[in-house]
Amino acid sequence: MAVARLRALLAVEEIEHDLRLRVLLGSLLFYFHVSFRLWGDSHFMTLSAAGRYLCSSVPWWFLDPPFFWSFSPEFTRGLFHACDILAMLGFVWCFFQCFGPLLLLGALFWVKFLFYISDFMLLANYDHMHLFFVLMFLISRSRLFFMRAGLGVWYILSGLVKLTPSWLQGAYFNSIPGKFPLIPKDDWVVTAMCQLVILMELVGPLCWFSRYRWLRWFSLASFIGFHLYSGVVVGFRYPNLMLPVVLCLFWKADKPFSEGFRCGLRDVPSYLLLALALWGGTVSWWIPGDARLTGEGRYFGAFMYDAERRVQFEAELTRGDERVVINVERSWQEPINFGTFVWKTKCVGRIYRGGQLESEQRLAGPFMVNGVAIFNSLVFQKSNARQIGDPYLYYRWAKQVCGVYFPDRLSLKLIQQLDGDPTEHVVLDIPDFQELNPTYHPLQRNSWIHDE
Amino acid sequence: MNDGRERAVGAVLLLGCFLSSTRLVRHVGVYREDVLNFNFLPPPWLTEFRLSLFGDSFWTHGLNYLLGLFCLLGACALLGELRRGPLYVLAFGLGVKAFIYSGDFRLWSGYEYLHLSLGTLYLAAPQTRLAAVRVGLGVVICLSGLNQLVAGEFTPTAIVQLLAPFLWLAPGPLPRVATGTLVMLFVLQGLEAQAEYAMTVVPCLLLTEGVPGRPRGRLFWPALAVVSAAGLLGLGHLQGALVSREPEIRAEIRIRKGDKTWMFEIADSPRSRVKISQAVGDLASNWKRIPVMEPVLEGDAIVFNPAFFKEEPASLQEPYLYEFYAAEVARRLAPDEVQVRFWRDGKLQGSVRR
Repeated sequence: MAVARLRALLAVEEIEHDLRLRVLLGSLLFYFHVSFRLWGDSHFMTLSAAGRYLCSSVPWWFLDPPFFWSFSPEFTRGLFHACDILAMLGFVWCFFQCFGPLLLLGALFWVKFLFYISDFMLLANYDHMHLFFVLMFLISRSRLFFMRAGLGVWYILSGLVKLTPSWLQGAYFNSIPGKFPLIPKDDWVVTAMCQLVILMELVGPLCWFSRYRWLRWFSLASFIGFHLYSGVVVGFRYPNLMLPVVLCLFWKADKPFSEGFRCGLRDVPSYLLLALALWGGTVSWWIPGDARLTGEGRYFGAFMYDAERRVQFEAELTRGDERVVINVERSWQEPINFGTFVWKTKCVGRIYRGGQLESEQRLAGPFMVNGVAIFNSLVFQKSNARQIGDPYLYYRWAKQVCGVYFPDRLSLKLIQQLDGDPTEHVVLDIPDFQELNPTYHPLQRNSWIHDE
Repeated sequence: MNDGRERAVGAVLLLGCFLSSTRLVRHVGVYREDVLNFNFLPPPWLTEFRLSLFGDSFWTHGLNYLLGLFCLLGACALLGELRRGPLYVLAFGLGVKAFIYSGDFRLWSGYEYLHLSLGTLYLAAPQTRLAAVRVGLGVVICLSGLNQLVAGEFTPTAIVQLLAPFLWLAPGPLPRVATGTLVMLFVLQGLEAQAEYAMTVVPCLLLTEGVPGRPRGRLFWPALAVVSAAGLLGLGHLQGALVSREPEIRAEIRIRKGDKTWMFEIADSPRSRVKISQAVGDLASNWKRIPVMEPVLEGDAIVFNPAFFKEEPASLQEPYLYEFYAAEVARRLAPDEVQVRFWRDGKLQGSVRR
């Protein structure tokens, strides 16, 4: 009886009777593998799990300290491997039934969600989208309609986030050596391509509601071409999520997407989720300042590649006659192949005692001072182009280091350059962190973060 | 295809190609085609031939991208009850995978052997795909157990893997018990370290459980013979999933040319993954170790590339890795002396001197 009610609540029959939804369920389940595999293999998770020892994890502001701090790294990795195996078994399960895999989808959603919101280093646009699609799939009836609506909303948000000089003027890709692979390297071609992508993302979803079939199919072809090509630029994770979703939602689509529109009490959660996504995607627009530099409000919605950056960071910790200086220098990124970028991050730590340089080392891991890990260069070396420029990363580090090293004074300076431009933007310049004692407000302007 | 189980096994095999391609993405070195920079390790008997075929990194990476993407879409198509197309994709995926993997010996592992074997047998027996995969599983798991014993790992895991497939031939509940034991074993191994192995072998074991009949097909028996021969040839060499316990490895490399001497040390254990350090200073007396993060150069020549040793820890057990490295250093740098020694669990396993 309870099973029957749960089946009815989750509208399992709808999936059982529509092959498109069944495939969508399978592909959303399998995408958990992509996330957990990456997390399990990356340095971040191991470091995060042991963060309290290494001063290396970057807890996100609404779950601090992260719940997994009590887990050992071995347990965390084992959990990810278990989720990996379950993602595969869930996909196989979809060949035989839908109810079980749907419950599994819900369980994996919670595991991923809890880890995801716990560590700033895990945030990635693809995972935002995946979690959104999974949640929409779980809570909706008339799933085909709401998944299409969700996809459209997400495309529009992706277009909105690109309304910056980096994309509108093609500055981002024009500043990267090699520019776009496989297409001419002229500046105007690159700029035109950037603008076309924005246009496609903003207008393309609206075409799905057109009564002209050719327009709907043109829009589909554009998005498929875009996703196939995007793998060349950004790597596997994006097309692996989007192509199965787009193909499923367009499969046998011979009517405008307004088909299936409904507005009952049961659909309120789906509409709320759409509204939440729309609101989240515009938060960075309501906060004054250039979000490419400040990073404020960025993670409530789509936050894909927004700029190419070069970063210089300097921190100085003084305690008694001991002075520790840490320098981080991130070079411009360079593409080495399809979807693969390299960058160099030079981290140097210096210890002065009584005004004399006692030691200087190029850092390749935790930087120990008097037996205390005050800095973990791996976190900064592995950060992607967006994270390394986000003041929040440095703010969190400063908070942590004050808690373990107790310096008399801590000063921070963060300088960014965007898109190959020599102009230097001083984003953080805090002479005395403890005296200022800044608090990070995620939904409003933080006066101590500059965008000069 | 006659039922969902066949399609499901096909999807697992397609997703296996996807797993390989995502694994390859992490091996950035594979795509830098210049062997002189120690970025990839061609298999010994294929070296010259493979070097001539190894296209530039751009195309290799492009092939890898297609391998992953099309195989994922193929698996989704099978779930969507499209039948014929995904089989071509699987054949394409296995071919591309074999091509890319033949370029780098470090990528070879028990998992890749398992996947290529099952995929080949699945395609070779169109009328009895499930039975073919079941036989393939029996052969590969059995060889896996044998391989561990040959490698000196006399563990219950090895014995279970060696014997369990024979129990599938027994009457009564024994075959189910054997399958259940193997599933438990692989899941536990997967939780610890080998998720991709478990992700392929566990669904295949479950989906082929209780499959009646014998495999048929003109290509099946030759394919099985090739799979078995490959497994037997690889005994004692197949890495990763076939060896249940990861040993501690230490290697020491010393290169002398004129008045210059380089010394590198590589250490790997399950608790502390590959650590590479270089000894700097006066090596006779006052020297210290520093971590090596980037290639070490002598003029334009790369003397040592940490990525060569770091990208696949399991390959550190292979003497061929050190032989190849020493030979290449000798050829490129013309040093007065190259000496490479490596230890496994504290026991000296090999020494190469040129």
